[in-house]
Amino acid sequence: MITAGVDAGLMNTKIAVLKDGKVIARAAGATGGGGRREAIEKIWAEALKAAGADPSDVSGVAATGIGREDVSFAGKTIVESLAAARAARFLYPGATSVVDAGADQTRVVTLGEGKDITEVVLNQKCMAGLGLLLEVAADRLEMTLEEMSALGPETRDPIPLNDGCPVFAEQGALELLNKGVPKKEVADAVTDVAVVRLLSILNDKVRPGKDSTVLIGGLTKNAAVTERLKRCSGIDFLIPEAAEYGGALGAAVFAAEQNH
Amino acid sequence: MAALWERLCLRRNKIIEEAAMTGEFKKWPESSWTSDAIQWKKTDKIAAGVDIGTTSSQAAVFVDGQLFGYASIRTGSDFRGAADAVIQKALGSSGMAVKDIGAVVATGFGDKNVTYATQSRSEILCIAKGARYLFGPSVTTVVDMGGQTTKAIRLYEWDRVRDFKISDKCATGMGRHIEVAAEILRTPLTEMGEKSLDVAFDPEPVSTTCYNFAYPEAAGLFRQGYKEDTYKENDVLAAYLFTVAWRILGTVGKLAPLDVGDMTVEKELGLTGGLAKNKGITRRVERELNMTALTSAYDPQLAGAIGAALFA
Amino acid sequence: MKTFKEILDNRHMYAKEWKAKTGGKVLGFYDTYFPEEIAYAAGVLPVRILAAHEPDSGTDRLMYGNCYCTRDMLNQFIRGRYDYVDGLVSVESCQWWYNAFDTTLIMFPHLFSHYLFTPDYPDGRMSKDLLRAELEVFKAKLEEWLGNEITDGALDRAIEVYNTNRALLRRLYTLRRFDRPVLLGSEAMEIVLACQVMDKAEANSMLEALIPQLEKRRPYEDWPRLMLVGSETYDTELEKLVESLGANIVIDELDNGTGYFSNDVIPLSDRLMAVGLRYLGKPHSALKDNVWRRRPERIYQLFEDWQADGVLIAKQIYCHPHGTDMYAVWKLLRERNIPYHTFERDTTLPYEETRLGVEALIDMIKPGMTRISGWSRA
Repeated sequence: MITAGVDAGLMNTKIAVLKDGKVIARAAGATGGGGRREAIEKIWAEALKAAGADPSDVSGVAATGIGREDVSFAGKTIVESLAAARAARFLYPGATSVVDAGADQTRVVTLGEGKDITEVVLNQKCMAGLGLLLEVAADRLEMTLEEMSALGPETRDPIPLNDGCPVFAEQGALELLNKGVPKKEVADAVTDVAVVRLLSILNDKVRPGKDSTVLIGGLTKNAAVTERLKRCSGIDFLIPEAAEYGGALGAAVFAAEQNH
Repeated sequence: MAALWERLCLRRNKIIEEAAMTGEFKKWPESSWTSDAIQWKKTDKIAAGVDIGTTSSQAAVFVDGQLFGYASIRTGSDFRGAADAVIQKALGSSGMAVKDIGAVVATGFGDKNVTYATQSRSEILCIAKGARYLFGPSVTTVVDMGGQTTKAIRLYEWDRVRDFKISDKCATGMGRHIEVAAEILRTPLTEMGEKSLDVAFDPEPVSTTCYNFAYPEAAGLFRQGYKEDTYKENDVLAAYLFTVAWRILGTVGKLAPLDVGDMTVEKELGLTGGLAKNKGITRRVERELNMTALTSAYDPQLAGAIGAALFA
Repeated sequence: MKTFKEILDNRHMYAKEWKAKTGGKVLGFYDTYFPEEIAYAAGVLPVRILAAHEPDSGTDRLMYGNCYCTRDMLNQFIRGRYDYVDGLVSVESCQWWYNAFDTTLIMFPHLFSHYLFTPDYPDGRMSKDLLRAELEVFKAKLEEWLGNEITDGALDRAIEVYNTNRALLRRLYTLRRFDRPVLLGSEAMEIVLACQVMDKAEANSMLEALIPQLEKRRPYEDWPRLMLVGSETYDTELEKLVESLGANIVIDELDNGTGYFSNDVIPLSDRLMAVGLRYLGKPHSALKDNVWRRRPERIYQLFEDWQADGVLIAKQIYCHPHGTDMYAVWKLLRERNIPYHTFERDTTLPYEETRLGVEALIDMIKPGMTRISGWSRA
């Protein structure tokens, strides 16, 4: 049986195709703007081609993410937290919680028995756009994501930056640049803001398990963030390969369940 | 299971490179011009103004009171580099060097990065003076819509400032983040304004609290577009740009009202800064204030630099 | 420790040394409506909890939407800076302070704590009796905690020390009046803040020695004179920014500035009533300026008395009392054609953004004033 999950996020859409409990293809693309529906359909075609499957072979498609209702070919939708939980269970049966850090939202989901979840902690409104902050900062600093990611885990004396919201953080970064602080140190400071804010969500109500917390979402592509987060929180995150497809995978797992 | 996932990914995997902020949508044209008619070597006074903003930097060079050259470039991450580059671009191939300029007035967020400046002046005063140059004697209200802040200025006499207001902290970055929105909404920045005006009806603004709330909400409107067939791309742009205009209006509204004795109703508005080039914003500001924005032969982004040069 | 600046910068060290020396207890308080005299009479050192703008990794979740100052007060406790504080008292004041107080107590439940209700409408007919009753409760609780009685004699001495301190601070503020401004705004603010975290008797002897020295200074003539209005501040960044632009803040209308020492306790045989009347009679803070709106007129009075040229209104971002108060102040300043500039402070002073506005205000006041390239910044 082939099922697929579509994670239509704020900036990108990710698709994972699942066959009998195995991932056989993935595809992604930017779908932030107008004509999102058509753009997602194009990625879907790519995914099917990669899977070597025909649309009629697919027994179920589930969509998740902020743009889930734009997925014209999806039979079901699933909220992001549940998709993240499904993905974590699928990848690591022993997982106790999952952290999903994307361009816009960050959520910490505590897993319960089986498919259940016991708690979801979302980012506060002023801290929406954490992933975007890193992109915007990279753009401002004229650095690539690879360069930001290569900052590594160690920081020197941290430069405190306004952590109120991404707007203020960027403004703080500008002040530093204006003072002639080297780019790399400003990037360090911005990365620390992201880490500190993630940390505060982790520390909120339920402290996630030390060895059983899964980290998924686009933010995992930034190794500097994940390494610092590991160090600061003391949590040894389980980060799957291609973790940004976590939501899509969860949706695909959900679609498979629905067809049983 | 995790190992399996990885193995499978490696084997049969086709990843389209995710286009995040590619930078292709946010581009706006840099500009420069240098006069080839003016013989600068025989003149008495050469003065320059350099405005280093957070997002863009401008320079203007005047020879005996006549505009000789200007340039407008992206500031990027190196403020000092931008300060050096922008003056070179304004001087172009005229053969004039920075040391030939008698007086250089620096202004803007990064004014102290202008190492060759002889003086530094407040940005508000420079914009006021520059707006007079751009828009002539009739305008009394000038709104500068820049990358990080919006500044509303009320003038009196020639270029004296009666009152000024700077946008709230929570309205910071509206200009800069039109660039980000262009990337997210995947619409070229230069086309946003025109597209947003091409709507059947003007939608309500999305969250006006801050830009960080605005664009996820704007992007979220697309979802309604699929379901109810109301919000098209242009509608979303219209709602988003109305939000930006709304924040600008908030700053203008805080200016001290005109004298009660003065019965003339103000009709003209001078708009400067990068956002003044976005028709989607200027039209909405004009409409809400019931005023007409004056046009200028020059790039409205140059107001600060021209004003600074006139101070020199 | 010699100077007020040193004491302010090393305030935790000061309090710890005080504790070691006297063996007494330290009581933290937030708002200036806290009747320090009663605590001082009990032999306790009242220490004002000040924010310090340290990097913060959790208080936004605990105190979401609160101002950065109050969030940082909690942060300071979490970081152990206030480990010497034995108790906390909050008075009826802004919600953010109360949240800081409450959340700190949830995390540090062993602290002695008291919530002292000060009437929201200080001029009300019942207010003085109500506050007196509240002070009585507070006094009894303090006595129970410390195990000794607060005598009238001790109260009289405390009132004397505090009145002297207020008189000295008022004298200090006159050093920036128009005829002979010998003091900078940043120095004055340092001293007032230091007085709020130290033993007032010691502060008095230091002030008595300092003021005659300051009077001999060369005056800062021709500096544009600014008035500072707005939310409370805990550092002198803004004053230093203004000074770096060649202007001086000559007077303020802040709760932790003139609001702290403008009026004295007028002795009565009923000591608690006397203390209560002092706090009800002190210049209204923005939150308690209800019904009659006295603050705008008071601001104008100070503006005139110190002959300032313009007003800087610095509101802490998310500060709710000053968010509503500003409009009344703007109205008055506009009516009287006083140049002013309003901006929002943040966890730290956003430097260039703030400078832009302050610079423009100074230029508005003093046309033709220029700065030479290469000036130094504080």
